[in-house]
Amino acid sequence: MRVSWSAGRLTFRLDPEDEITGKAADGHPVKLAINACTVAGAPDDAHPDLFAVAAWTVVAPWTRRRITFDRAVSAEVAAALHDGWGIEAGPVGAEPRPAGPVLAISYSGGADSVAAATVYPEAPFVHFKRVPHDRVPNRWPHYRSDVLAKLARRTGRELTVVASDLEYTLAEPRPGYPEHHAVAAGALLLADRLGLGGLAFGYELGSRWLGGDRYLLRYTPDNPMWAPHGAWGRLFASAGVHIVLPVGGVSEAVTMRLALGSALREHVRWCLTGTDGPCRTCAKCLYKELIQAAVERRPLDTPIPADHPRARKWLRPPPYGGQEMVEYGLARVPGIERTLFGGALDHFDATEESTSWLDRCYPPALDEIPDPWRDQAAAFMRADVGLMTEDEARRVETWGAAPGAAPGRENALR
Amino acid sequence: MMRVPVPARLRSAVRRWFDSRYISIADHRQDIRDALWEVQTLRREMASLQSEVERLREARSPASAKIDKSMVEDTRRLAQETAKALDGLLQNEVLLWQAVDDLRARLPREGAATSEERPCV
Repeated sequence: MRVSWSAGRLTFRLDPEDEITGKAADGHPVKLAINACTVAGAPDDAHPDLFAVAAWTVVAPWTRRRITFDRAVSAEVAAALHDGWGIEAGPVGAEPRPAGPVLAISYSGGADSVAAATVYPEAPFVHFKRVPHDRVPNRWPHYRSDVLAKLARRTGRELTVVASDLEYTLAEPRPGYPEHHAVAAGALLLADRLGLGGLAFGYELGSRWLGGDRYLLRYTPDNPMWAPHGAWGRLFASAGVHIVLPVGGVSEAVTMRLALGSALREHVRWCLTGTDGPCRTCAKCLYKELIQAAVERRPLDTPIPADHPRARKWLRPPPYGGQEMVEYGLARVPGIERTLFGGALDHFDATEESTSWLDRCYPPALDEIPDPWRDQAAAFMRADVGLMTEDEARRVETWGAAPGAAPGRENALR
Repeated sequence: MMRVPVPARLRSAVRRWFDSRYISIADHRQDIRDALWEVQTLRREMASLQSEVERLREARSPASAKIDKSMVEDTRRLAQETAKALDGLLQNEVLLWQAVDDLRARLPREGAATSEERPCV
């Protein structure tokens, strides 16, 4: 892969061994749509390592053996690419970028990033805003990135909105981040301007420790996306922007409770399609409604009928991403047996007792927050959430393990 | 009930006085007849308007609905096929540049100084 940046426009060319279909860090196959994208507002004088890591968040899935940058990078970034992915990176020749003093929050506006923002009330926001690509038709106009950006502005926090079409480099599954970390491309390029030493994401317990979303669906201490010692964690750190997961030790029930109890409550929006409010009918709205109803201890309130295709996803036998939260909801939402989740009760013996570990913080998640920001998050979690006991922590560490099997250790590399 | 004898002259004077203030039965009959005629006329007009509406509806809806539906379907199909074709086109462009770069790398280095072409933007 050869990449070049010019006035915020990233162009890349495939080497002979690179192919249209690649794999993201979580192993998911992704197809390339186009080899150019833009990140608005990128300063031309950003450190070369920042250009390199930002480019890598886009081109990583399709790079097989080597990557050639248009400006020399530090030996540290080259080593992180080599150790993490087995990729030869060059040219090498820049001084490494020292980490800055500032922690910014990669703010999407959803419950998880609002919870992260609650942990660090003084941290500035960087918001990624999807804009159309000039050469790829927008077949997804229902995605209301404009509404999300407006809500982010209303929070009153110091905010940088980064407009980018980089999601259109992905043809399949559909436009989205080629790697989960591409949401940070703008924050990386602006890291010198903002004085960044860390970037906080809303990734929670399920994503960081339980192999959630579309990953392994079991305990993943060496998660390559989000562990500080994983490939991505080391790469970001080598460019002086540490990955920080303020809510990495708590479940989506806790992030929901923190978000709904925060000063930003009015601006929380996990739905990507609604305009005046959440649409209430998308799959994400349904999932979050289950969690919210469980947290608020009230009956489920959804217009989606039981026979709707969106309901079916949660009636399949486990395992699936977000399963811990379905169990949590099944155990707590009054009258759940009469809702579209009624059928899922057959798969679980969830009780309040068996899911109560999801109400507390997994301590190792605090230990891995980089030093300058650890104490604040730890104090917050002790005061507002509470830490898991050893027995509860064991629930995390045996999550998804087949009966009798040791907790799995996935290979951090592809 | 108590009956009081009233002189015939007075009685007829009072009756005349009342009659002069009220419409006669004959006039009432005529009014009712006129109203009935009006109602029947309106009913006939309503019926003819209704049949006109029916006729227009019959004449218009099936044909126009058919045109709309097929046009919508066709537009949708065309949009999807075009988008899919464009996906392939853009991917081919990436592969073409890959092939061009590969060829250039195999050529003798005389043209090495040529500026780096970029995909059209």
